[in-house]
Amino acid sequence: MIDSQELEQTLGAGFGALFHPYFDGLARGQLAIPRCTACGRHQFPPRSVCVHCRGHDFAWDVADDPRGTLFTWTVVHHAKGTEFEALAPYAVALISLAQFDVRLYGLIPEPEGLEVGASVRLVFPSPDGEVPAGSSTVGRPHWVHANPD
Amino acid sequence: MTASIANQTAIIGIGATAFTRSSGVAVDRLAADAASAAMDDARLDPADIDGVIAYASGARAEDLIVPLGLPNVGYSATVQLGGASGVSALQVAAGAIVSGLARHVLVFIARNGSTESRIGARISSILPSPQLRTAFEHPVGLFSPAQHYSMICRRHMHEYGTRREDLAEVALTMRAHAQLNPKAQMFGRELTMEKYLSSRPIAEPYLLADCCLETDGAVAVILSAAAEAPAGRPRVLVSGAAEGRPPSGDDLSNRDPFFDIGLTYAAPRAFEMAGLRPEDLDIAMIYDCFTFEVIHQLEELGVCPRGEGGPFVRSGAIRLGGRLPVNPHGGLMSEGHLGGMGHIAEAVRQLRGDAGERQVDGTEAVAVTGWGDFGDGSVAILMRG
Ligand SMILES: [Zn+2]
Repeated sequence: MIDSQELEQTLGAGFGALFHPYFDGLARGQLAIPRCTACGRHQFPPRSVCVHCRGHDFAWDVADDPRGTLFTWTVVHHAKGTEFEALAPYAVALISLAQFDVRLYGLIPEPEGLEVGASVRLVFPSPDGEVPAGSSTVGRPHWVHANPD
Repeated sequence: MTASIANQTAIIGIGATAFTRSSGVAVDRLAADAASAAMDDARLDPADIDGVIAYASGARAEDLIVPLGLPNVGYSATVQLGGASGVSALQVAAGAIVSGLARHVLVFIARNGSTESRIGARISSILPSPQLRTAFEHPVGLFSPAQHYSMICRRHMHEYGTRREDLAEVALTMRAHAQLNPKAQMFGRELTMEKYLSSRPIAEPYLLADCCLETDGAVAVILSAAAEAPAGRPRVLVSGAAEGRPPSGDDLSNRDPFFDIGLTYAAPRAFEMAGLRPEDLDIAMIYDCFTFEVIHQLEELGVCPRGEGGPFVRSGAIRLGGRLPVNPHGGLMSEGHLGGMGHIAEAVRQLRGDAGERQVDGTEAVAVTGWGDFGDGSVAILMRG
């Protein structure tokens, strides 16, 4: 599980505050994406200044049922010295969100059968440590194949 | 009308240590050895050097100035552009010379990149916007350039049909060229398609054989006003130089257009400055951190249209004797990786006609590219003149 408090401490006060709604959302099982209140466009990663209009006020929109399509990915075999070493091979993908016009990096623990354009959905580990049905045993938010609606 | 650095300066000295997996000495010794060789080559004394540009990683300016006793250094700079820093430094040095801030500028890299500061450790300390790495990349298992860049490669394969065999052609070409370079780390170690395909996967599509080497060593070059180049040998003019950054330069995830890199923006500036077109090049020295990055940069340099880099390398074009030989010295993949400074040194050798067995006859114009961080780019057009 990602310890969002520890992460925010590592980042320092400024970036910690800037990214807090995102990690707070993940901890509650939600994917939240910043929207510039001046121009109305979403952006990711979160930044202090809107890359579209230089606005600096953001509201956070929650994806109802986080789904997306694979833009590209890599299959990581060499993760020596990281906490992901035991998980390798795994995939890291760039995922185009269905609901908002942004791409996110995402962990895909099962790297078999991936294709550009394939549908994926976000799975959260349950708060009590139970593994949700149909997901792998990874204790952090990750993406799995989804049947297109 | 603005002043230009075009053809105002020349690279008058180059020097390098051996490229090894283990130098056995500290970086200040490496720096001193390469700089001394460059000063000898330029026919200069330590007192002549009044500008120093140290690479973004490795030894700092003081590691060179103190041991060599350079009494007159009044100009120093460091370019923070990752692996594009060396070629960008040529632009910075040329600007300092043309403006009168310095007369002889020494640009160098010295690092034990194999035994002390391997890429994993090095990169985390110099990448831009480290908070983005910490917050959005490390928690999903994304840590290294091989992983980032292989995602660009995969998307390129999808959009343009770039093939595994195209990546292999880059790796095999670099290795074949290194067999003509006795100083290359991979001299005497040939690579076959079979060996390439059986090398272990690192971050697919990248296999180990798609990745550059890690190297201990140092390279130094000296720039001066063109008029100060020593007589009796061909001059190597800095005819054009530029750097550039793609949209979302500190983050690949939401870059749009996705295949834009710094070179996309830098190359037209540098060619215009030099009064040349990509088809005028005799050699391209491409920052070959990974195989696909060669294909990508050939496209953005303007050598072939975007999407046609695969067929271009597949045709044999980048081999010695091909339409546009790339990295006759073997590059980062087979000579060794000292931040691309080796590419600059090889360009100078080729333009002087000093490259021995791997000399491309009649070389008049060479482009040298740098690639850093998330695709920042730099390019210098060097000409014999
Ligand atoms: Zn905005």
